Amino acid sequence: MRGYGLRRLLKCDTQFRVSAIMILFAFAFGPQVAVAQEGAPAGIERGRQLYRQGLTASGDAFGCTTGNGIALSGAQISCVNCHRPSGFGSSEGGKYVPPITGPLLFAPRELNRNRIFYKMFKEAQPAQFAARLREPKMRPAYTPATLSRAIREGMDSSGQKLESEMPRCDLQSSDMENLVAYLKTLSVAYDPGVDSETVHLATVVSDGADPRRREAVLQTVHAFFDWMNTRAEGHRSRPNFSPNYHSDFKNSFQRWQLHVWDLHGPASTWNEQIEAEYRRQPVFAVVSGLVGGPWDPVARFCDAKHLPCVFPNTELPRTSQSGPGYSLYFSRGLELEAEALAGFLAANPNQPGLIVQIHTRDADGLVPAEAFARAAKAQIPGAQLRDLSVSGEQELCREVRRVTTSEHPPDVLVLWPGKYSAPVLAALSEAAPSVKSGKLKIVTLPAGALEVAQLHKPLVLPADLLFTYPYELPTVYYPRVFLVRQWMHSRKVDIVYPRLQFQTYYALTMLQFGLDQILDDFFRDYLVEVIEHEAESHLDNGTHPSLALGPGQRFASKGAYIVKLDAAAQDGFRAVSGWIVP
Amino acid sequence: MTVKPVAVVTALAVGALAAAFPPQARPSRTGGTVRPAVHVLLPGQNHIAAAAGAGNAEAKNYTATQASYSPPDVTLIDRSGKPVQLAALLHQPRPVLLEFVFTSCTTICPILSATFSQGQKDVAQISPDYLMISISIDPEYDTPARLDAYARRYHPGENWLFLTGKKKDVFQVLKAFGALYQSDNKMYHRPYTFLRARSGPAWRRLEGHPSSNDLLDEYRGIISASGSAGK
Repeated sequence: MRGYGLRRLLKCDTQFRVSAIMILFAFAFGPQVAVAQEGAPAGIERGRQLYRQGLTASGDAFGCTTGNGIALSGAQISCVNCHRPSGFGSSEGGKYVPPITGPLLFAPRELNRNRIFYKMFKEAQPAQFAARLREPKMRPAYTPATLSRAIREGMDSSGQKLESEMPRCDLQSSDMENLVAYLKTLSVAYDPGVDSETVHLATVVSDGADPRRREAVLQTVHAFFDWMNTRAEGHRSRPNFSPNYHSDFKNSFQRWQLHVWDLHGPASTWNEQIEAEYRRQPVFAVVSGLVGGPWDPVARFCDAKHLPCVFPNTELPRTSQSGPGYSLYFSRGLELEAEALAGFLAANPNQPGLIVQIHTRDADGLVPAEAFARAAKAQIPGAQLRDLSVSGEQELCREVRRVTTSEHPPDVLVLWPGKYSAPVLAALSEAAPSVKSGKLKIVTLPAGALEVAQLHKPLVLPADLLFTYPYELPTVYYPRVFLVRQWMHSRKVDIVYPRLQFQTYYALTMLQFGLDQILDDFFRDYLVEVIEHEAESHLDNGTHPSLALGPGQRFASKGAYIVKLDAAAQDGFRAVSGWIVP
Repeated sequence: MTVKPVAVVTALAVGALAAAFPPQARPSRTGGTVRPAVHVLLPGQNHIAAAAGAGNAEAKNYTATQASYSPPDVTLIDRSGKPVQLAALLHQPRPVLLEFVFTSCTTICPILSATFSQGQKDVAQISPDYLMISISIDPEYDTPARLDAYARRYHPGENWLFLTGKKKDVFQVLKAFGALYQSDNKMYHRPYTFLRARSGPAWRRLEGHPSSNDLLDEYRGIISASGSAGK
């Protein structure tokens, strides 16, 4: 199948042939072309704007009607909605949206079971959906003229009516030309990081991450790659073992080559280090990983390169970009915890009058503190919030002791101690005898402090010590956990940090799932789209109550519990709130 | 590709089971089994509503069935953040048009909502006290703010409510309307529109994408059958 699209391209009209040859050259001389939109001719760029944003060259929205007369306009009818950024289409609500990439659109439709195999056999679609797939409408290659007719009149290149959901749009000729020009370039050259036998993948770690956790993540990643490669080797070495089926997919059994991007020093130098790694060997995607501090530098790199970063282990994801980036996260991390805490306090019948918040000046402290301040202002308008920003362990512990033992302590003390959970718990223990009973009502810590607190000697504090907890509770049973544990045991992966390693496993299975489905259509947007589509389909293994994405969604889990220590409870803690979704 | 022959057999078996047991009657992770909806075609009407539209020889783009639903007594939230008691809302003796959507849905929801949008004025002419309800099936993502942004694209009138809420409550509603989707994955939801003329369990379910005229015909039909036109 590889190379098929380009051969087809070269049979088309002259203008198209020139474009195709340019693309062919670009493909031959470097992987960077696939993401180099900036240098595209103006017409193609305007066509991209029309495809992606539903805006004409003059920046106006345009109107369309569906085949049965429903009027649509603006963002409702951007081509990208149904056909997705990659152009490989989608399936939703029992509707199959066919791929419209350049190589497929401008070639006669061929029956290709591989490309629809997943949708036919694995998606939970209604019978009409399968019938539609089994009776594809054959058609000759589109030309600019027949494509214009399809978009304007809803008639394909063989003269058959398109599905009624396909909007019929009265575009001006120049806009139509731009759109056709863009479609000719859509998903033509493979994205970087793939060769004939290997898909190159990276995981990112840094020296700032806890070394034992980092090792647990890497051990899981290595085991998964070994497992995948053993299976792929088995398939490739026996291509005719299942002649009706497996041999059809022989081009998809790629070897997974792992590249560990081990970052050193301050985060300000990470981009340079990642760039150097990427120059040495471009990768098709980044999976899992664990860095000390915010994921932001990695996320920025991934966004710049249009490189999927599949579920890194981070509590500090990049949440600030305007559109969906290329990093897919488990949750918004500490920002989510802070907002859930504000929601919990707001729902308390006795809303606090004075809240003191003590946080470190690094991202672990600043990010949740700012999020909490914003959310508390909106949700607990009657409360007064005092914010204490501290640097270092000593100042943090001193302030904790001072505030808790004050003659006039706050109703609620919110702590964001970053890496100083243990010293803060020690400071609370030390201060406990001097805390005035009945005044300080609640002390809160983030989920990261919970494990430390469980290892700590019992803390008797005349106030509720609560933790935000954006994960599944230990009392909930997930059958898949058994399978994952067995998988790890049989591969001698020590389960030291279960949640972290199960998250890592989930990231790897989502990547596997995505690569399985895209087959040898190695386009990164397509990979992201598959993961968006299927993240909700129960590959989760109990780390979060629900992991679900959707088109453009980047945070799979959306809520948090508030929990407290309870020696009698399973795993030593229990929830004191429901699942709070801010 | 890691699919094995046994997976194909399994898929076929699952497909056969799926055909034998429609989604409404299948156990769900979200709790218990789904209440079976009673599907009764109107006398003289084809399952594919091919002959429903006068003067239109083409097959319609939807199927229509009669069913009985009892919406649960749950509290949802509208797009301004205000709580809405669904049972009380539906207890009002008003005609209702109801759909399930989610704001990040790119394929069928925009068409479902555009159909409501386009039909608002004509529906009002038939029965001005109508109520349109769009309920998010992705409530954890669809905050009131996101739902509001989605709603504004469709220029909703006063009689069109957009509701979200807690996931468990929304799933109770989905279950009550026989609209739970397979794999508990919202990407597999179906394009349903539910119509009723007055309070009570009798609803008409459209599956697919009716045109505005189809929707009006259906609406006119149930209003006329109930004898409540113009009230």
